[in-house]
Amino acid sequence: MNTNYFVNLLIILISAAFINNVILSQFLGICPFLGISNKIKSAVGMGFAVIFVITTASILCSLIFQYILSPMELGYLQTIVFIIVIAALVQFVEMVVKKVSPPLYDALGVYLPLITTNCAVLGVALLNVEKGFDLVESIVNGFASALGFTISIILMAGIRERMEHNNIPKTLKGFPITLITATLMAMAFYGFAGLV
Amino acid sequence: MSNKNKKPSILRDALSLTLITIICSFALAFVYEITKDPIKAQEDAKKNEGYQVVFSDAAELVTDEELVALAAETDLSSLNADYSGVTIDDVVQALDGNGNKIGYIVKSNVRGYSSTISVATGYSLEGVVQGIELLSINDTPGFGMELTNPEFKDRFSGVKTNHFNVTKGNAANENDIDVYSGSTVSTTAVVKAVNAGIGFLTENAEGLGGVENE
Amino acid sequence: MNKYIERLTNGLFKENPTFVLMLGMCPTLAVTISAWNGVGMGLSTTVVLVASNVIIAALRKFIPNTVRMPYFIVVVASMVTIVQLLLQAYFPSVNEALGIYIPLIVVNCIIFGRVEAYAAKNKVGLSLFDGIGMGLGFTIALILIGSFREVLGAGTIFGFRVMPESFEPITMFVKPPGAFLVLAMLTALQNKFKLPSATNGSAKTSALACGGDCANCSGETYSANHEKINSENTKRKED
Repeated sequence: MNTNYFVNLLIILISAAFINNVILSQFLGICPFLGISNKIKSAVGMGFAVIFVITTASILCSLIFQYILSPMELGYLQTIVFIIVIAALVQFVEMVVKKVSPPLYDALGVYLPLITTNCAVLGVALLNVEKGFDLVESIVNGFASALGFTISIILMAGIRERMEHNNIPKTLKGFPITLITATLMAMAFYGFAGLV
Repeated sequence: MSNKNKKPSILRDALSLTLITIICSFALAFVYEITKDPIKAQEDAKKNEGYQVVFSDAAELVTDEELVALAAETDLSSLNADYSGVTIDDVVQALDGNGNKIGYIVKSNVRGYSSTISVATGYSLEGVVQGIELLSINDTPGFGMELTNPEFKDRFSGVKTNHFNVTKGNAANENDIDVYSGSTVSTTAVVKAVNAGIGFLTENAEGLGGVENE
Repeated sequence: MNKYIERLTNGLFKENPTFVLMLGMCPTLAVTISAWNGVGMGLSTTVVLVASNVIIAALRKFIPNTVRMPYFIVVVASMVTIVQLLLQAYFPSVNEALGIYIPLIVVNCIIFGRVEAYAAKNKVGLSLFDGIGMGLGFTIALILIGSFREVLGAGTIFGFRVMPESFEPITMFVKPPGAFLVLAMLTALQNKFKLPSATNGSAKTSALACGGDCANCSGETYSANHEKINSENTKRKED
């Protein structure tokens, strides 16, 4: 544990949240990004649910890979193990949150089941392994990726709420204008590339 | 979800789920056994291809088991604090057509900007870098990837040195490497891996600095 | 026999997963930087889809309704891993180019959508052809989008130079923003010419479990939640 290690963690944080933004440069989790971004409120709810699930999933998957799959040379089972763990985790979290904290469930509950097949969760878990991250690095990377997801979905929702009252050409209404907005956001985020 | 089925039975559901999982696991294990060797062969082929590039004069490459074992237990940061974080997992002797040793290839790994970078460095007995090759670099496509550009790798070839310096656009000496814009961390990481590889060789390899120093 | 042909054309044209149903947008956007990538991704997905469809259709009478989803997940994930191992062993360059998007086929809505909506309710033969049709429809769409981006972004198709030397490649088209822009243009054209597409509500979307609407992915299990979200949203509005 030296300063180098923390600098390294900081680099992982910034690159995962901005430079390699899960949505705008890795294309993971496009579905909720386009689907649930019409209201800021729902975008915030989805964003926090994703932060919670991805961070937890990163911890679990990293532990499973390091202490079970890797020592037993079963690395090739990672996809199947991770997706089952994530699906079970989401169900479990939903039940626990419902029991323990009804207000939190009201805020996040409806978004949790939507996350099981969100490719960002599995994608981040797989990237942690591919990049050879240890436990702490996996947690940081998971949290930062989810943070990047939340930032982009909230930004998108803010823009879309404003666009509702704009006069948009009929051809571009709906999906096309949303995608054009995403294009411009992706270009802006592309500028972060020189950061590190 | 509809529960029109006769009676939901936890036991039956669990059994059926377990059964399909076991069957799938067997299928996977079977395919894994079949593909294990081809995958290994592909990886070796790729590695050797990379090795051949960094030491084009070599006619034959022989793994130096002693140095590989030594590298595994050496803490590189004890050689030079700059080398901390670098690991060496392969050392190969380069032989010429007559079987005489003409140099070494060392494979060093270092954490790049977002992933591990493996670099193979060819180093002749005279202390000249024959070439470097990035064996795996998973950094963001388009950024760290610029480093796979031949222009960058050629900067190292033919330089007689035991240490490279990272410079920012003002490379003056042969052993100065300019940073690639947008890939500062990756460039620094590659240079560090190359330096550590050479440092390890000069310290330990026979016929190189190691013997001369004694 | 007609039924089988109908399944093929259904996947290729009428319910083309990419152009009409707008499913599986993540791989569509991510890997289509070249035509070859489109071929690799499309065919890998086709193999997974066909295999999963056949297995689920064959087992459909034995799958308990309550644990349906985990069942599908296990089968699909196994198929994906098998495809990944085969790619690593025999087509390493494809595996390298597609990287993490190969294991991510597991969460491609096309696969779950077809398995749940079709294979779980139909015979093996029909499910087989359904998988082939859908898979090839996806492949062709990826190749078209990939070629388009490759021509503009690099001046080549399948690596062959097709644009004159004087053409300065518009690199943006092979970078992330280009992916969104190409899709935006595609959906705008569909709006303009009133082509059937899930994005303008003119395509029949009910045929798929996930509503055929990737934007509001995913799966039958979640349709209940969409109602919940909607009612919640209206409630908030009223407040």
